[in-house]
Amino acid sequence: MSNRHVKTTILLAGLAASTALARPPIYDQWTTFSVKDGIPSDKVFCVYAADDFVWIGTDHGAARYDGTGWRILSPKDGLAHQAVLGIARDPDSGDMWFATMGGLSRYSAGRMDTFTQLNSGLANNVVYGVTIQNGEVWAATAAGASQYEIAKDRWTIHDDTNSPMHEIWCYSAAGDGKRIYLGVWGGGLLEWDPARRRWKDYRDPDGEMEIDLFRDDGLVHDILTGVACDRNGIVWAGSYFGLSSYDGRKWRNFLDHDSPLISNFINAVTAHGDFCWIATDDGLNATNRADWWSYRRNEKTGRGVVVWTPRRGEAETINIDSIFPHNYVLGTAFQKNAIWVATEKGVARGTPSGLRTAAARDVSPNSKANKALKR
Amino acid sequence: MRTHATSWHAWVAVTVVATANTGSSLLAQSRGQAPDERDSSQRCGPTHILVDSSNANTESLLVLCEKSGEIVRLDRDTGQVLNRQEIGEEPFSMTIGPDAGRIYASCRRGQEVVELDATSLDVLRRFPLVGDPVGVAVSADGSRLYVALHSLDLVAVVDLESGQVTKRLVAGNGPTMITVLPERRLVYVSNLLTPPETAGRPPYLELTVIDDETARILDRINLPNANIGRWMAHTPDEAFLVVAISRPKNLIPMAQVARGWVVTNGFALVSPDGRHPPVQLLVDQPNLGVADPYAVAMTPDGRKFYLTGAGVDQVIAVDAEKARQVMKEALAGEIPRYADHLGLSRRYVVARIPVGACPQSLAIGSKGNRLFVGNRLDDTITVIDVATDQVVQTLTIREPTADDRLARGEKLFHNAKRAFQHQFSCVSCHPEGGVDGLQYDLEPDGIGLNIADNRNMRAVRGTGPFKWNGKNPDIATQCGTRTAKWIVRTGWLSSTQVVELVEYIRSIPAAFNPYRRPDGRLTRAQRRGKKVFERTTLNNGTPLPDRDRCDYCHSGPYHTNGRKFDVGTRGPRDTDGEFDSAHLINLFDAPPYLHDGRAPTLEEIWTVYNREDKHGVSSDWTKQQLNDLMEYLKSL
Repeated sequence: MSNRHVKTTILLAGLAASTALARPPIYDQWTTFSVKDGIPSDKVFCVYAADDFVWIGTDHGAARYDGTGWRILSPKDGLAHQAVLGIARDPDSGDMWFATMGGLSRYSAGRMDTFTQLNSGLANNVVYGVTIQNGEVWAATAAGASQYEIAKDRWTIHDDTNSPMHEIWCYSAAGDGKRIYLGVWGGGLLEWDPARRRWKDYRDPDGEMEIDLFRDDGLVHDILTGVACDRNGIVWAGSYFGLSSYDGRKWRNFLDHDSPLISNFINAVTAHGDFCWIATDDGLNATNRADWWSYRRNEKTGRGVVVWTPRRGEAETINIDSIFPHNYVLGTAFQKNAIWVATEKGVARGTPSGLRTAAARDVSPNSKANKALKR
Repeated sequence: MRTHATSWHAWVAVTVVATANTGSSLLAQSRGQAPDERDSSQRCGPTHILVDSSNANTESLLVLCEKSGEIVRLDRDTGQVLNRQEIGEEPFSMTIGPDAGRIYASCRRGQEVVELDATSLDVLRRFPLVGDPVGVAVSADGSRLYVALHSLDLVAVVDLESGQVTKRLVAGNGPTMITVLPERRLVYVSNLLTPPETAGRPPYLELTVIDDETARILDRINLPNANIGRWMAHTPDEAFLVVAISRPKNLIPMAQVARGWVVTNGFALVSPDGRHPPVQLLVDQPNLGVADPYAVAMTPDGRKFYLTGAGVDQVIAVDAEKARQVMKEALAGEIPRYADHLGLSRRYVVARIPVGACPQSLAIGSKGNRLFVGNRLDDTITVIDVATDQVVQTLTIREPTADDRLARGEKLFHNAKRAFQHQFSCVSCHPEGGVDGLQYDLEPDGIGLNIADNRNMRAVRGTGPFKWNGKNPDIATQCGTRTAKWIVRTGWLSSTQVVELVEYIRSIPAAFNPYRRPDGRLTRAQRRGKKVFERTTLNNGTPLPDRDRCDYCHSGPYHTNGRKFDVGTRGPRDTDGEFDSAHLINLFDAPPYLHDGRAPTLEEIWTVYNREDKHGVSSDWTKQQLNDLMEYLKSL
């Protein structure tokens, strides 16, 4: 074998290996945590996982799981409000930040600091999402976005007066390491370039509420509920009308009738590895724009159905004995080999047992497997 | 790790410090204030000492000099200056790297940390660190430098290879000193002040703990009823950490000064392994205080530690084992109210050693037999025999210069011996010339009435009248008879001394303002905030009456017109609703706000406590305008 052939073989083998590594495993072993297990409420709005702890936000406070039990944080502990809608961790300090209906709280080694519109530069007390990047806290609030430079103790409000924010109801914030993206309810996607200190907005080109006139021409819809940035530079935007993705050049949109997307009603999106995980009102999806996973609970049996729909090849349905407690999914997070799924009936941890997919015949969106997942 | 410990012991670095109330005339001028009148060029002001035993034949002392901006190497036995190097403005503290080849010294006014060659004292690198860099420490593995940024409440983490700040961690209120426990890989940060949210409630001090391996915040230990956290030292086995603290009783009427227990002084014993909760013990005696605990040093065998009483020119020797025994009894519930017990100190204080003026730094020789005490206000180093706790020598860094009224005033400001039973000095409530963040009940107008937030003493020249009720037309009135009668409750000062004290107070410069650009220009947000401050109409165009404009009451170079106004903040314990228009210089530096400290943040002055629009018309502000105004006010 010539050197060239050897190199080609190694390259192909490497590609195959990386593809295999990039594909998420099948999460088929699930444990559910509810109030009886120590969480403050079954209505879990969000989940955040770090190496050491898992945090959830509920309508009755936040809670931290250390692998053995839950510790609850409530307004009695200084939390700004009992409804916790978003969680982020400062990678520098390890401090936790909570987006709540009554302000922004920082939990640092037992100390709770709360920032509200009355005691700080926070734009509004209703904070839907929070993310931290390069020493800056970004809070998506009901009256614009707040940028807090921790080291300078400086707040800046971004709203309709200084940015192309058609509406000021910010719902989600995410960073790609450089830029910040805001998902705005009715205002589309906003991109903040810190070097130029400028905003760029992405809107639904057709501006239609009920239809997406041209496929892949831009955002599916201006009412965004979630935004996430994956490691490949793709920005994902979830709405109540479908899923959008943007790689810096082209848009790819996904609707429930032309893709394995379970539902157009998307509560949150999370980037993990090469995949975006989509929390919908009727189950959970994951996609890298080509391949799809779908997870759904059979409410009658309590068992789960997983469908793997590869870009090429055949979809495969896998029945699993357990799954998350409800199909109304509000968020996902990842810790080591586990996925955590927040639902309106508790939070669940899924781990893989090592199941693998096999080839199946029907790959179309209307295949039997995918139909089984639809409402 | 062991190697580190060994080389560190070769440079027995111990305690330190100094108040940073002297300063740059340049800064004062840049603020439109009178230039600093003090000529400190002939003074040293030792703020930190290291014992250099890297030379096997002889030890030398390295001394940081706050006033001359130098590091000086002295012969340990004769005090002869062997080497000196100018390093920057207002050096404060230093540490030695684990390889003993580098020294890192913070320069408060210079806003930088300087890396020096430990042998030649040549400056190798400068790390700009805006935010009042004070305490410094090197990580156990030598890769990182921790720097306490006092005015920003942050700890900067500097990667020593690249020289870049890699992160800034949120500390408590006014991080001061940093110490590393190399075996446990823990970093402890002392903080100067109670959080502003505690106004009207008992204060507490945070001890911030950083994981030295990840450089992340690991724990925040609260020391209840404590304030003014200074230096720390740990036992060789790292089983205990000693923190110098004060325990003010500010929520009781100041009449209790006459009973000897408004400000008490001592230390906290902290167990880094968490086996015991922190215990606070006093070094005062029932009728004699040890005002302003400052530096701490532990002997190499861990049997004894020393604590300076900077306000009483004393070093207190504490038998560590006896103190730990008291701690055990206290934790077992055998000693009621032990933290306030003025008689307990007889059980563990083994010596009270008179030293020079304002001892604010300590270092112990490598053999553990000599204690070196840096006396900041007379430029001397007292040498104490550790075995006998006797003074054996006094080294003079610089000979005293000609009669200096400011120097005498500075000593008066820092000395508690004129207060009843030596309980406190001016500095006790005005650390570094600023504020202690507490509220006090001075009873001339009745017990429990008119509780007043302490006010900043920095940059007060020209800002009269004084007191929240504006009754004192000048500093001399404030600091003369009134102080004698209602605060220190002694004969206090002669008229000449009052003049000297006042002259010194008038010379205390503003703190460095990290919110202001070096070139003095305002940021865009600050410019917008200035417009709000100076606006003459409401947002809807309606003209604002003069009295409703910010720059009416807060006018002139110091942003005060010197008059009293009712801004709607009269509380149930206030006998009058009119208060002095506070000057706004260094506003960022003195939370909490309003006359009784009810507003922990600037924003709350208007968002919570201005419901009637009496403190300027703020009800039509947008949130953007409020934020811009905050940015402007912090820049003043």
